[in-house]
Amino acid sequence: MSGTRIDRRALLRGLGGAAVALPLLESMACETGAATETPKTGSRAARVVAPIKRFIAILNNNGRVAEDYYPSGDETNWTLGPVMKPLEPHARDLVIFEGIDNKAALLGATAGHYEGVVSMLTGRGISGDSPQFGSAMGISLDQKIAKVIGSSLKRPSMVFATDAAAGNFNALSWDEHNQVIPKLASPMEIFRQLFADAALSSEALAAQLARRRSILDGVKSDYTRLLTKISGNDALRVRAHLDAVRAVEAKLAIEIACKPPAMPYPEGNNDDKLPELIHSQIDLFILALSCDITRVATFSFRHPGGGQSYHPWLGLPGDAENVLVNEHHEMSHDDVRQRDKLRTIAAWYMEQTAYLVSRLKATNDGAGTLFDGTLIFQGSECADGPEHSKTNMPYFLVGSAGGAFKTGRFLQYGGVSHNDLLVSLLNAFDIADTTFGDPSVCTGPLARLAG
Amino acid sequence: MNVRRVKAWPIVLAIALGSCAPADTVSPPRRPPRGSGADAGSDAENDTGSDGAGTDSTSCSTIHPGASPLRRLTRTEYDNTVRDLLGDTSQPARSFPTEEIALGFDNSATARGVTDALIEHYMLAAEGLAMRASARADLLPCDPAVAGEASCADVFIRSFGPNAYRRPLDADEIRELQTSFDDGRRTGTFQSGVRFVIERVLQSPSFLYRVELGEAGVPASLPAKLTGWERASRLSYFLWQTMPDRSLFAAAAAGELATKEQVLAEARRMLGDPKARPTLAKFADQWLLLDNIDSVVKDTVQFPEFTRALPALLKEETRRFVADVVWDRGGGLTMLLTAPYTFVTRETAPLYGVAPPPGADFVRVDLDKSQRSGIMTQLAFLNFAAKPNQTSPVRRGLFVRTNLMCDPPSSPPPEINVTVPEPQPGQTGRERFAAHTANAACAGCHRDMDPIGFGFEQYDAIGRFRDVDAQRPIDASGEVMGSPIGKFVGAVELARKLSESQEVRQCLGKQWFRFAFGREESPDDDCALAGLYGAVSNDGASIQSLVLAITQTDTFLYRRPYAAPAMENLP
Repeated sequence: MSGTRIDRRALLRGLGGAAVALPLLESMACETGAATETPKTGSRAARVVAPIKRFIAILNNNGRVAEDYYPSGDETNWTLGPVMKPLEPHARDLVIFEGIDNKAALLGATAGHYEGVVSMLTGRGISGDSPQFGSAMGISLDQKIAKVIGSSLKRPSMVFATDAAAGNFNALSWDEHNQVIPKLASPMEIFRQLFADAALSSEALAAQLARRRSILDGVKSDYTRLLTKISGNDALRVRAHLDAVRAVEAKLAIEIACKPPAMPYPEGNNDDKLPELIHSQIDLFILALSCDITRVATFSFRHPGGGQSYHPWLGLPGDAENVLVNEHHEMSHDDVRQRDKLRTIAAWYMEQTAYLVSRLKATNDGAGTLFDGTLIFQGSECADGPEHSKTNMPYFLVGSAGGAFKTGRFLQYGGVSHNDLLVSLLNAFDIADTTFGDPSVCTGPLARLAG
Repeated sequence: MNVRRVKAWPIVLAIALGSCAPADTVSPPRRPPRGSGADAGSDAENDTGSDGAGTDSTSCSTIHPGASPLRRLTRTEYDNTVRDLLGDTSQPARSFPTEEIALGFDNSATARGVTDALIEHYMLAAEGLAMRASARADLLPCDPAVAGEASCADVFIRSFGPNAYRRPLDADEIRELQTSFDDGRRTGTFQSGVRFVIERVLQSPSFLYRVELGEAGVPASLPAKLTGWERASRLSYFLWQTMPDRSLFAAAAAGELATKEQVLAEARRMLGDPKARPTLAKFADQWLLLDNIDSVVKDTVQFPEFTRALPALLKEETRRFVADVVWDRGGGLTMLLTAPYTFVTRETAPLYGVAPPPGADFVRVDLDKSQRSGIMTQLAFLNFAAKPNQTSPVRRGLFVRTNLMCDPPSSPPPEINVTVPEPQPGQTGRERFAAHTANAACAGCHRDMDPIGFGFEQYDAIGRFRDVDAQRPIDASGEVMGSPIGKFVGAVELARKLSESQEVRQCLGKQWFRFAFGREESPDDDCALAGLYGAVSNDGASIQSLVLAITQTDTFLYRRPYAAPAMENLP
């Protein structure tokens, strides 16, 4: 099921470190310098026993039409709904849920979309104070997992969105201070963040590291000296700044040994070039994974709610005379009459997930592929479009983080809280917590999931 | 089916989508959650009645500033500062994480946290700025080939450092920067040394933050007079969103910012500088929620006139009007709320029922005084505070309560269906929202909003004046409940009454206070607020005089340490 298996480490050596042509690199990716020298827990040297665990969350928009979404059949013997057909090649890796509610979304302010987006990974309601309306009230699951499995990596997590400026409409990832994690949209910027260092010669890299260390040493002493002159909350904030400088400094020495490809990733845009943009983001993410620059990511493709979301490449263009025609959110409110168009759109987004999964499976990673240790959690911010309800959410999983769950199942529940699912996902990453998010809607790990 | 046309709306207006607290439960607090610590046990600012003062004047005979939390440069301030410090106009902060919005403004002193990602942005921005700057010979005050490298580096540090830190450097700081220069020089050229110095300075707290320690010798528990340098920075970041200019630095160095009068003289000079205009525009944009117009779409079957080009034009119209009132006419709240003129283009003129101007530009036009009265009857507000296919008395009323009266209703409770009925033939806007007052679960909050919004029913969902709705004459009577403003008929009368209301005038003072100090007012600010209320209490009081009044408050001229609550002791 994976692509041609090549020992890419040997191949890279054979190329003598010369820049590798992209098509070759795409299929085999690259490696970190650190992994070859100091094997640590979870590094490739230990891979024989367990694959590296990786977590991905994906947000779809504007709910689902139940009849087109859910499988038919029972737990192990089922047929995918039409919207999910693009995931057919990966059916044995799916866990599709019916009867999981996003109860947490209703614990805070409600506006239809924000609360479903933000609570998906925080398991808490959103702030109702009007100036901060829609902000999280707790850390998101990806960030919590990243603290455990990503803290020693160059990028503990990556937050991709096709629209970086959509505010809380597509804000999945939040830190423990309820601050949104900045979203990355432009492939150029993603490329820079991943490979700016790798483009340098080893001499230039060493000089940059020496300069940054010198500067940050000085900067740290500037903050330390200020701390002797101030007190109270000001001192707390300066100390937090100093801690963040230290954290950034600690990552300076992590070298990315990948030879970066040229920049062939189409910029795309959030309008009519969305397909190019999403593929670029996924392709760069695959490179980041295979270089072990990161192990955690969230993706928001487009954003829900009113926002002129059109799909001209599917024959559903915007109409300058009436902006409501073919508009995704608008149509989701009218899901009986617009069902065919909504099905076309929803299936296209599933194709993007299928593309990501295929790329993961086709990319070698030690003895297996990138997919082996991966767990993808995907969902939408509401259940149905007309009512924006949070009952029976279209949540599903792809992969099992190296066997934490039995996959290939259609699991039906009678209205359990999605916080329980979030606990199970934490457990899959060896985080032994028994509750996550708002405890009033969490009863512990989701029953039956472990199989 | 019944919610097909409901759009999701940003920020404040999102809470107006429907539902509300039961009328018979305890009223939720009207004010946002209070800051911790310092303000416990007093509620003085809540009962600043309608007389404009509301504070025991005897307590204002002593110096009485509110807390002064440390402030970090906003993205705008960062870009402006490196422009003025280094002549670099690349605006690197545009790629920094966006500011959190608190109390309606993006310059909150305390809501803006620091993340690893921001630190990395600071590092990369400083690298780029330092690299570009160090290559420019004109940035050096000397020629190292002539003056000698060590001597020239010293001169550079002693001139660049104080400009960047906005105050003189102490001996330790000069030594530290010399160390950075030496580090750079050791592995490179003289320019590398300069680059290291700039790169470090741009990441130091004295650059990124507006550090204020006050004049020496004051016990930490007491209010301290700000030094001249600190007052210079307060003035420049408040009025210009950037570092002090040469003249302001000179005043600080000469001890000429020591008195209120000296500060006022500088503030007057600075208000006359074009750099003050973007600051006042930024206040107005955020106060009036003008960004909300950007994402407005209308049902183009009902409103084919509302083209995609309109939102930008409507925003520009209100901006031009505000600038005209504030700068060209020296006006204030009264004029903003009652002036019967505006600026139109050939695209927007028909919506006001006036003849389109011949050219493509904005033109000032007088409007029918019986129909139009300032910002509340301008198209930007009437459009964003409406729905794609119908008016929204809730949104219009919410804006008046929140932004003009500083008295926001609480958010709707979660369990109530937030859908709004589709318009039915023969039903007026008032009838559509009757459920809000008929249903006890809704009436608790909606009686604060809907009866105000009903007064705007003479303006349709795209802001055109109308006499008839659903084949019946409009009933434009409304009421601001629980306020001396009381009953009114139509938005023109409402706007006049709002402009005369001390509650509304004081709210404008509060909004400016929040914008100026990046935080909510506290009881320690009562004397400062009393000063601002005095500056807005008269008919025709100007925005410029309100801005100047801020620079005359104890809160502006002095500082009180931002105390640590007991729970948050340092480790």
